Amino acid sequence: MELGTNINLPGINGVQDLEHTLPEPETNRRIKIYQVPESVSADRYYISITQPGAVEIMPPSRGKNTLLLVDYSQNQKGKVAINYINEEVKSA
Amino acid sequence: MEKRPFFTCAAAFTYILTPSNVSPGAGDTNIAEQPTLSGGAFAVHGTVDTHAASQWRIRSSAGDWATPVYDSGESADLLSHVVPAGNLLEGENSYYFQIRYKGTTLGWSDWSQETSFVTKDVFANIVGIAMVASGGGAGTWQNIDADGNNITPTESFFNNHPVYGGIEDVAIDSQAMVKIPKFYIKVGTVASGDQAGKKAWWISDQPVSGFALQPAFMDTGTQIDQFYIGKYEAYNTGGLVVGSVADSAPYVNVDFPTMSKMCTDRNKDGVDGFHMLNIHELSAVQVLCLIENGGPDVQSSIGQGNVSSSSAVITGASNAVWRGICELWGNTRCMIDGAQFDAANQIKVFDQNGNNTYVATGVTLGAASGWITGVYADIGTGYDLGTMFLGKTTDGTEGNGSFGDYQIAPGATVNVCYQGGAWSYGSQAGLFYLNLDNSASHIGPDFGSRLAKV
Repeated sequence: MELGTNINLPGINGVQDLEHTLPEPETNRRIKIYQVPESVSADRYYISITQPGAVEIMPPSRGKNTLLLVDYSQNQKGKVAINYINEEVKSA
Repeated sequence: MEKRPFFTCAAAFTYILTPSNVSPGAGDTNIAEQPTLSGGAFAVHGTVDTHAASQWRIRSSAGDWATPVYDSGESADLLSHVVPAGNLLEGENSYYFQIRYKGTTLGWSDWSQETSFVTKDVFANIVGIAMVASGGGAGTWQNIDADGNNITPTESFFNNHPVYGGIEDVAIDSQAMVKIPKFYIKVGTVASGDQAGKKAWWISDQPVSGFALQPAFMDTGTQIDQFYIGKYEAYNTGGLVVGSVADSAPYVNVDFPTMSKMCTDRNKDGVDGFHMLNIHELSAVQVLCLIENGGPDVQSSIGQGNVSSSSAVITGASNAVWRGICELWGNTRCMIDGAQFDAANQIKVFDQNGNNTYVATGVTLGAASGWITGVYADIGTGYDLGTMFLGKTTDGTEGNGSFGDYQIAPGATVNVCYQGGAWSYGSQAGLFYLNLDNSASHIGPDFGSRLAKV
């Protein structure tokens, strides 16, 4: 598992792994990655990036069909602080 | 050989007396996550000194003082000290604490005799409010703790509370929404403490004994961690769906079923869970605001809102705002789903499992139109009116009200629920204002609504 600008997340619940690269951080940011229904995203991942002071953008899917996988903060230099990792993701 | 004394004594002993543990008392149980430790008076033997500092430490019953679970270090908290969160464990764990005092001249005392205490089974952040007295226009209210004792919670307290602190603006499907985190509710008579015997409402972030999940946090039989309420009154995005954005004219002159459909019609192409604000969601916001506000009279304590004018203002333009939710009273009457009154005025409300099916309570709303003095607390199969704020008793004189707001009684037809009052309602309007005498087919220039989402 890799969290930061480069993301490598093991898939759970039959969903394929996530490999994704974010733009380099221009400022501090908070990143949340959700598992969502296919009707929202073909790969079933939704990545929300929130800059300081900005309003967080949530997945549009129903809450009970939306699973938060990871939540981490990344500073402008790229350093990562983990806020939350789903237990299934941890053990995958 | 000369004999020398083994030691010599000073002319007088001078030292700081060993302090005593005061609270928690020895063997106390049910201790919260952040107890206040306190010690006895600072005292000196043989001279005079001033209390310069104290030190507070805690060990687990299985541990020792070489490895305390908490050590304040030298602290400016001289006679009492709040243990920071994250040091004690819930689950009825046993701990010991000690104190020592430092004199400016004489230095540290010995450590106090250790005494034990036991933590709560579950650490929960509980805060409540009691109606101390009815009448007077908006009643007399007092914030209380879990035990019914008076407290004066600060803005910081609420901002650090897991529920209140978690209320935040978000954007979903480009709509401005406000997240309301899951909480548990208890409504009843205070059993002990300063407000023993008074009716009270409490909320907790944890599922502790006596509390039930507030029913807004159920979605088709599943618990959910939050719901979202429109930050703004609903506006017409172009004839098909309503939205929630600033600086828009609230959508009015539309009947209840059409408005409801325009809320749910937002659900397409992966978007799901939008609907018209319902009675459980409104009640969740009402009780949170009631407790944080220290009473129901939001017009006096937060802002009058648009209640004394001749037309609606655009969304976000009034001062009827609580935790980012705008025009929460006044401006336009808000259609509330999930509360109906049949021709005999029987109260029907959405079930408590989030299935959005109506439960006939068998309770008749009999109060005449008037200023709300008391609310229902009836509980039955599939419903708990105590979690809502439906006026059970009213009074025709404003000065005799207890909530500061007015309720219009249902008529002899099937009626629905409208909340908050409108632009010309004056002091009648407010967070607890209810209009229950219009049918779902009613259309008016001051009848609007608000999105919600699960």
